[in-house]
This record gives sequence, structure tokens and C-alpha cells, in this order.
Amino acid sequence: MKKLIIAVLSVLILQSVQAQDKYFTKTGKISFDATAPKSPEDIVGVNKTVTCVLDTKTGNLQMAVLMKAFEFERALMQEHFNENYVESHKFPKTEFRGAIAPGTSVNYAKDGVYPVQVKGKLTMHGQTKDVTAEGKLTVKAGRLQVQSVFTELLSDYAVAIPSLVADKVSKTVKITVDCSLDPLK
Amino acid sequence: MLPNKLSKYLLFAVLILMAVGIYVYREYNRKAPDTSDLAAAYELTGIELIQAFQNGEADANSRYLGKVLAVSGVIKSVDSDSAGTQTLVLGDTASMSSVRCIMEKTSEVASYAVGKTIAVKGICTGYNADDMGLGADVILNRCISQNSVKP
Repeated sequence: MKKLIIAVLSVLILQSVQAQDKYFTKTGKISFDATAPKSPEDIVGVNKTVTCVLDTKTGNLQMAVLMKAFEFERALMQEHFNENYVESHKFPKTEFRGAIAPGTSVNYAKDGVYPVQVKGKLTMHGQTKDVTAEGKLTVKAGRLQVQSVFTELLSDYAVAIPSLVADKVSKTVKITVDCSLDPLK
Repeated sequence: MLPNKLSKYLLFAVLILMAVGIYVYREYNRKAPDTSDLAAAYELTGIELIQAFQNGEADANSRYLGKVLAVSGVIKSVDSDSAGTQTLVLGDTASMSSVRCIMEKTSEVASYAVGKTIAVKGICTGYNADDMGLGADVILNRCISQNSVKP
């Protein structure tokens, strides 16, 4: 009986420890900035419903971003973004599947700010590209914060800019990631 | 002095230019309409909405994506982020799958208790299938409680 109790407790503790390996959010933030020097105004979209999971054991990082959830200051800009640029009715989701690069040292048990490099595949507008992004991972009070800023070429993802506004929309887009992750229980 | 006929043409051209200018200005500065001013394209329960996406994501996307939906369901939880954005999570408490309603007015959320059945109206921004072990979610943005819909 004693052995059985110990065995059950061991399984429960092991499950608890395994659960702590994964951290997640469904309210992560990603913004992009495609403002060009000749843009009459900032071209910035913000998405506050990003799903992100980090497995601290393997370093695997996964994100899902619904394109219709990007919000803009002006309705017309949001409509153009969805209909003419990213065609969100055809490609409703952008996904990133990658991992914290090997050799990156993060002590998840100790509060601190750790520089990280993440490598993986970004699928947007039906195109998949290898991406490497520098960022930082903050460990604080049992929670993690993943932050990164990186740029991508719109042409790599077959996002065409109409010639009429070619000098008013940047050919590269600055992507800012900010996700606060809680332990997955 | 311009001939009478030419004056009329000029006046007409100026009026047309002014009308085009006003239209362009208003269109350029147009904000997203308030959700309370939008009519729901579909009314259904949260569980029905989740099932629609689980049964066929492509079909459900073509039907619901970008549309205004009136969705009712039991509140499973109320999530808040550091920026103050509040999310009502609706669905079957026995299931990991949910409808996540990002509320437009956070002040509305204070009175919402877990277990209460409510109806919200919001814009469907898509579906995240359960491929991360977190349950599947349908996301509604700019949600308002149906109680606050203008008469």
C-alpha cells in the first residue's frame, strides 16, 4: 500500500513538473510597421490575440496569428491590408514553428533577462521562409516574457505592393513580438 | 465676363470636385464602425460555432470570417492582460475548446461572473485548431455585450 501511494505521488509530481515545462499565452501581441519614408502616415497594425507556446525543455516555440485580428487606426487601411495585401480570406493564419537556437543559455529557474536567438519557419500568405530573430526572454516570478523585433521582406511572402503606392509602403516590414507566457497547468 | 453656359460648366465641375474631395477625405479618415451599430450576420451558440469550425475549417471560414456574429454561451473564465484588454472565454466547461471574445469596453466585464450565460456580439477573426495542446479557439474581436446594444 505504501509503495502504491509513493508510486501515485511520484506520477503526480512528475506530471506537475512536466506541465511546468510548457508556457503559453492566447493574448500575445504582434505589431508590424510598414511605414516608408514617403508614407503620409504610419502604417502600423496591431494584433492582441496571438497564441504562443514555449516548451522550455526542448526550446520549441510555436505561434499562431490570425490575420483578420490585426487592427489599424483607419478602417480603409485595415480593409486594404486584408483584401489587397495579405488576402486574409485566402490565408487567414500566419504561423511560426521554431526553437530557441542551441547554445542559448536560459535559466528558467532564475529571474533574469536572457538574450536569445530563435530560428524557425514562418508561414505567411501561403509562403514559408526560414527566419532567424534576435530577442530577449525575461524570467520573472514564474512567468516568461518573449520579446523580439525583426524585419522581413514582403516580396519573400508574395505580398505585392501596387505600383501606385510603391514609394508609400515599405518593402520591408518591421515585426515586433511581445508575449507574456504563463505556465501551462 | 464668361459666357453663361461656360460659367455653368465651371460651377458644375467645381461642385463635382468638391463632392469627390469630401468623399475621399471622409473615406480616408473613416474609423471602424462601433460594433453596436452593426447587425449580426449570424446568431448561434458558442458550442455551435466551435463545432462548425471543427467540422470544416475552410467552410466555416468562408461563412463566418470577418462577419459580425451574435454568440451566446456560458462564461468559462475572464482573462485580462497587462494592457487591460479583457477576454470573455465562452463554451463548454468540460471542453478545452472555447470562443474567446475580446471585449471592446473593459468596464462591461466587471459584472460578468464565471458560470453565467451571456450573449455577445463581435467580429469573427478566425480559428486556431488544437495543434498546440491548448484546445481549439474561435476568436471574436471588438465584442460588446448584447445588453449594451443600442435600441
